[in-house]
This record gives sequence, structure tokens and C-alpha cells, in this order.
Amino acid sequence: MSVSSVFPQLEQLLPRVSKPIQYVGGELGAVVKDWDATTVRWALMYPDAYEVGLPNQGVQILYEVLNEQEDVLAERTYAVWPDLEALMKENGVPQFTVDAHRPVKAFDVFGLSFATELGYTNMLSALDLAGIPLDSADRDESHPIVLAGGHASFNPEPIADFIDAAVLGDGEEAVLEITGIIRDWKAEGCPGGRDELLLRLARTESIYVPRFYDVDYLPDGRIQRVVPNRPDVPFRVAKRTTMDLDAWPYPKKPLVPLAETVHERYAVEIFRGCTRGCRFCQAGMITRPVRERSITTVGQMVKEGLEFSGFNEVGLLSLSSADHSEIGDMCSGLAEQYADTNVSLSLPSTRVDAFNIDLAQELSRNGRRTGLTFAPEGGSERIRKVINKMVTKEDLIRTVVTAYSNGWRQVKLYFMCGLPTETDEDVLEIAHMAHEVIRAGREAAGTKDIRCTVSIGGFVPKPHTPFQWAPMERPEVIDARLRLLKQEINSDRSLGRAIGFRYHDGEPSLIEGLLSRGDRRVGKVVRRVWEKGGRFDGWSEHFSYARWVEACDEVLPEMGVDLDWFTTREREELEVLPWDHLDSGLDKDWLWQDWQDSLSEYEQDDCRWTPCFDCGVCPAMDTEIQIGPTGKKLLPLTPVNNLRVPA
Amino acid sequence: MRAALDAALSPGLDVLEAVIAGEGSLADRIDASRWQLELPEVDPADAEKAVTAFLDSAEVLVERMTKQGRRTFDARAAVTRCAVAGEPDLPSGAVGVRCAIIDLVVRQVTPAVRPDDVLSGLRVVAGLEPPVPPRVTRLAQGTLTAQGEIVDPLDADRGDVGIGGR
Repeated sequence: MSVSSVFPQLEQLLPRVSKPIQYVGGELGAVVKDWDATTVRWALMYPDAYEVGLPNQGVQILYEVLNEQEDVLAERTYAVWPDLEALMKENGVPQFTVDAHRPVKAFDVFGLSFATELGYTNMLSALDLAGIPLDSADRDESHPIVLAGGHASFNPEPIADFIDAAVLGDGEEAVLEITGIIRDWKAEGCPGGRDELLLRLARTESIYVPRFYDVDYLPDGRIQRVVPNRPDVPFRVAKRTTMDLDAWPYPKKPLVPLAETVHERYAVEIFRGCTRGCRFCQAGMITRPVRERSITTVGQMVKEGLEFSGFNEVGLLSLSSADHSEIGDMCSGLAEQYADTNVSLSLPSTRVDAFNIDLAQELSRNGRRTGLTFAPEGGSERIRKVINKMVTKEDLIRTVVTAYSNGWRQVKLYFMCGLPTETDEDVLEIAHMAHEVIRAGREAAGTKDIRCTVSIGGFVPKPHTPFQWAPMERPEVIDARLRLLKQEINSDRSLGRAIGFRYHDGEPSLIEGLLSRGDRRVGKVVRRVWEKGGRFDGWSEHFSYARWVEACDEVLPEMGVDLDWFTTREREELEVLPWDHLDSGLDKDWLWQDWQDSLSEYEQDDCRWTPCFDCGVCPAMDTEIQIGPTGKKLLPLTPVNNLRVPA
Repeated sequence: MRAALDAALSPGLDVLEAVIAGEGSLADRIDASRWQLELPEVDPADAEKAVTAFLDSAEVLVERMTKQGRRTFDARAAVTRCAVAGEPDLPSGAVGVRCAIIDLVVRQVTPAVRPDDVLSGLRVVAGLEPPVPPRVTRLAQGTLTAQGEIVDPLDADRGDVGIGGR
């Protein structure tokens, strides 16, 4: 029985919504296959609007990996705006894929990639629109397997009731393994139904199926234990690591968006993982070990990616791009290859390091000079030791001065507020730092016309980091500190007017904290917020703190907990954490020790260049650091854009 | 040149024909569009009455929300052709849902008059309210000839065009 496109019904609604082009599909790079010629079918979702979701690397990589399999079909779906959601409900149009406008409910797997916990309410909207029961327990063989991935799936407990399974870590091999399991199960005639399929997934020991685990609580609200309720399901589920990234050079055929998106470029991951050990950084902790792509693979990917897509911007992505062992040759090689073209190269925000100015010079050879961004994260040297971001004030000043004297006029500095042990003084230091940046910068640049933007976000403690035990700061305290900081910045008018100040209020961060360290009880809050109309919680136009607080007040007290319990409360060493049964490879004792070290302001080095300090990942996961240098260089390309028109 | 352009583009984007353009921008040469409006469940006779009333009016004021807010403007002046097309032939004995089809040619003006605006105009002059959202398809856009036909905006550059077309 084939599945037909819902586009004829959808098309009638499009003239009545904003930005209708985002729902139309047909992008360069999109793949549409014959439904009946395939056996396993995936609907992949990034649970945010098209403009945010389309450029997401994770989804693009899995989309290609899956579609390369002849009998597998993968299509994409994104969150629809509230105006279309209302019309779809009125007119009975279900959640659809943009590639061929097929109903998501018809697929075998509905995979969602959660880069942030704030996408949970959008997941509920998508399930509801798709006609898939919100609760995993209510689904049957006619419904897809709802599978979560992405960094937030390292603690999926708040959505445990809504998902059928979660994959932790790298998805390339995981999606192929899952496809194989489903293929076999279907070929055998679906024995044992949905339960048997989920059991087969769980038995891989690297796919987490929440329904096979029971959670018991102590009278004071803490978790007593999380245990399997089936005999052959593992006590701990392990994350996945794709080794040898050169063997997985995706995306090869990047999607070219139809509507404006947040990034419009060809992005290459030059390495995964990070061992710098910044204590707040979940991404760095859960993506260990470091695995680089070689300079030649990167060069090849850039060449083919640009030829396929026609993008004129290339992003060299990673958690800390300047740390790639071949970054110098890579940047100069690429700059050379694309010197007379309109292709521009960029690095994401980098560590405060003068070396990065040299790189930035290489990348802006053709004159396009965007702003430089650095992330000191902490205002005082003391707090930087606490978070293990080892950069002195002198390093920072020297780096930005180099930037200004080399022609940059705009520098952006990222900081966080609400870090563990933080005091007002730590935050006020940010102002002093910014003042000195302007003073020194004006001198170096020889002009008063330079700018610095200070951007501050609220700190959110994340699972699988040394700060997973830390208390969050109250929003009132954060807001008060930010006010003080703003005053301090402007206390010197002449310097202050060259400093831009961007910040987020403390409230959204508190809710992110609720979700990031929440357990299954928080799921009831998520559902209540959604029922009350919560959507697009990552967007300030849509996020409602009051709605979340109300939902917490309505739902949590009868279970003996509340919003503060999950956020501002400090955890003890022996408390069972909601994600302890999910193994990121990091040794919990090592994490606790690092937390204690942070409180003593003790710094930890990077294991790429100093001896291993036993964080636990490599022995536990049977992985190793994979870095260069390979010693190779990029060869000149034959000119790509030399269009000779016959006279 | 066609081959060179085609080679420079990604596979799957095919340049079928290339003409070296003369003076003036392409946008300036596109001065009209032809649209087909399908109105399911609307009696062609009712559509005919509405279209006649519309064409008979010197001015038809309609409203539309723009970035600058709600605007009122004339939808009539830009329309050069508006006619109800014959119903498609159905196989004998087949029962179809009636559907009025309107053939519309609109000049490119500022503020732009969209097919939606012409439909609003039909509602304003004759109370025509389609029960099902109409389907609008652009059939052509290009240069409007004196005879009211839309021709390829690059026709003039093809070099071998005489009066009366290719």
C-alpha cells in the first residue's frame, strides 16, 4: 500500500501562513525515492523551524548516510509555525516531510535530533500533528519508533514517557545498525510486535529504551535506583563513537535552503571531540576522544561540497578549531586554493589565542573580514581557574590588540553568568576587562573607532560534566549582577560607548536547567506546558517563563519536588543522578574529583599534549585519540570559477 | 556559451537555452503574468457574473496586509484579461465536482496586484466567496504585447524575430 503526498491539501493552506516557502521542499541535495521500492523508512526531524533546522549538520549527515542505502528512504521534517499548526489541525493535514510531503506517521522511524532541551515541546506538537500517541506506552505496530538523538539525549529522562528509544553519541553507525534490525524484523513478519523490536534494539547495549527501566524514589525525592525490568537489557547503556572520520566524509551533497536559514554555507567538521576540559562544557565532555579529519580529506570535502552546492562560504567546524594539528596548513592551503574566487572561509568562535589572528588573516585574504569572536567565559582569573578555561588577562588583551592592529574593528567576547562560586566581583571584572580591551585596542589601531561586544549567557549545569552537581544561581541574583555589570561598563562614558552589551535574562536558563538535569517527573511538566500552548521555547517571542513556573507548581508538589529542587539545589556525591545508567565513558569518580578540583581552583591540562589523566573514556569505550599531523599539504586546484565565454 | 554555463552549475541544474541579452534589466522586461485560477465547487455561471461585474468597474478597491500595515488599493487597473474558461471535458457519464476556471493576465505594477487581490475584488463586487481555497498557478510571465499576449522577455534578443513572432 503506497503512501501519498499531502501536498494538495497543504498547498491550499500555504497562502494563509507566513514564509510558506519553508514547507515546499525540493532543495538541491534533497532526495526523493519511490516509497514502495524501499523497505526501511526514516523521518528525521530537527525540532525547530526550517530556518534553524535545515543547516543542522547532524541531520544532514544521517540523511545522506541513510539515503545512500538503496532500500532505505530518509526524509526531513521541521517544526511548523503556530499559524500553520492551527490550520493543519482545522483541515486535517498531518505532520509532513518536506522532501515528498509524506505523513510522518507512515514511516518506520521518527528520529529527532535534540541539540537543546528547549525543543521538547516542539516534539510533542509534531507527534500530535502526526497522529502519533504522545505516550510511548500507547503506541502500536502502526506507529513509527520515536527515537531521540543529539546531545540532549545524554539525559533523555524528561522525555522518557514520550520516546521509544534514544541513541547517545555519534549516529552514523547507529542508524545503519538500527536500519538492519528493523529490516530483519520486518522480513521475519514482525514477530513479537513492537515490544520484540524494542527489545532487539535494547539488546545492542547502545540503544536506550526507557520502558525497560524502572525508577524508584526515596522519601526525600531523590532517586533510589534505576533498574532494568527485563532480563537481557543492560544495566548501563553506552554511547557510540565513530572512529576514523576520514571514512565518513559527510555531508557530500549538502542541502541548499529555499528560505533564509541561520547558516548558509558548506560546513565541514574538521574534528570531533575536545579534551581541553572546560568544566561547564557538556559538548566537550561527551564527544571525547578527539578524532581529527585529515587535511586531505577536508580539502576533498570542501572541493566536492562547493561543486555540488554552489555555496560561496565554507565553515571549518569543531569545538575548538584552532586546536586541529594541521590547522595552519589547512587554512593557508584553502586560502591559496580559493584565492581568486568568491569563496570565503570561516572558523567559529575560537579560543583566546594570538595564533588565531594568523589564521584569521589567512582566511580573510580576499578582503572579507567579519568580526572575531573569543570566549573567555569568565571575568576574573579566579573564576576561569574554576571553570578550567586557562587564559590570563594578558593573553586576552594581547590577542585582541593583535586583532585590532591587523585591521579588525569589531571583536565579540562571550561570557557566562551564574558560574559555581561566582561573586559580584567576578562579574564586574568583565567590565574592567572590556575597558582595557578598548583602551589597548584604540592605541594599537591608532583610532578611537573600534568596538567590542560583550555577550553574556546564563550558566546551566549539564549532565556528564564536573558541574553536574553544582547549584544554579537564582534568576534574581543573575539579573542583579547583569545590572551591576551594565552600570560598571558605562561608568566610564568614553570607553563605555564603544562597548556593546548583550545578555539573556536569568529565567530561560533556569528552565533549561530544569530540563537538562530533570528526571522522569519533569516529563509531566513538559506535557503540561505543551497543553497550555508552549512551543518554540528557544525563541524569546514564544518562551513564557510564567507558563513553565505554573506548570511546575501544578504538577511537581504531589511528587514531593519543585523547580528549585531540580535547579538551585546542590547535589551530593553519592546521590543517584537521573542519567547514571547512561554511560558517556567518563568515570563518575573522575568527574567528582574534577568538581572538587574546580572548587579549589585547580587547573587540568589537555590530554592531547600532556599525559592521560584517566577521565575514563578511552578504556571504557575502547577508543583512542586520533590526531595528526599527517604532514600532507593541499595541492592547488584547477580553477573552479574561471568561466570563459566564447567571443 | 550554453554549454559553459551548464558545466559551471551543479549536476541536476540544466541550462537548456542561452541568449545574449541586450540592454535593460530582465526585471524591466517582465511586465505581466498569466495566471490560472481554479475555483472548486464554484458554478462557472456565478464566476462569469462576478468577472463581468469586475471588468465593468472602473476601480475595485481591495485590502491587503503588507509590511507597512493594512493597505487599500485598486485591483482593477492592472488586469488586462479576466475570463472564465470552459469547463474541462469529462468522460461521458462521469460525475465531476464543478469547478470554475479563470484565465487572468495582470500587469506588473506597484503596489503589486496579486491573484489573491483579484479574488478579493470578485468578492467585493459580486460577493463571490469560494467554499474551498482556490488553486492559483502562474502559467507565464514576460513581456506584454500590444495584442495582450505574454511573450518570452528574451524574444527580442534572439536575433531572428520578425513582426508576428518566431
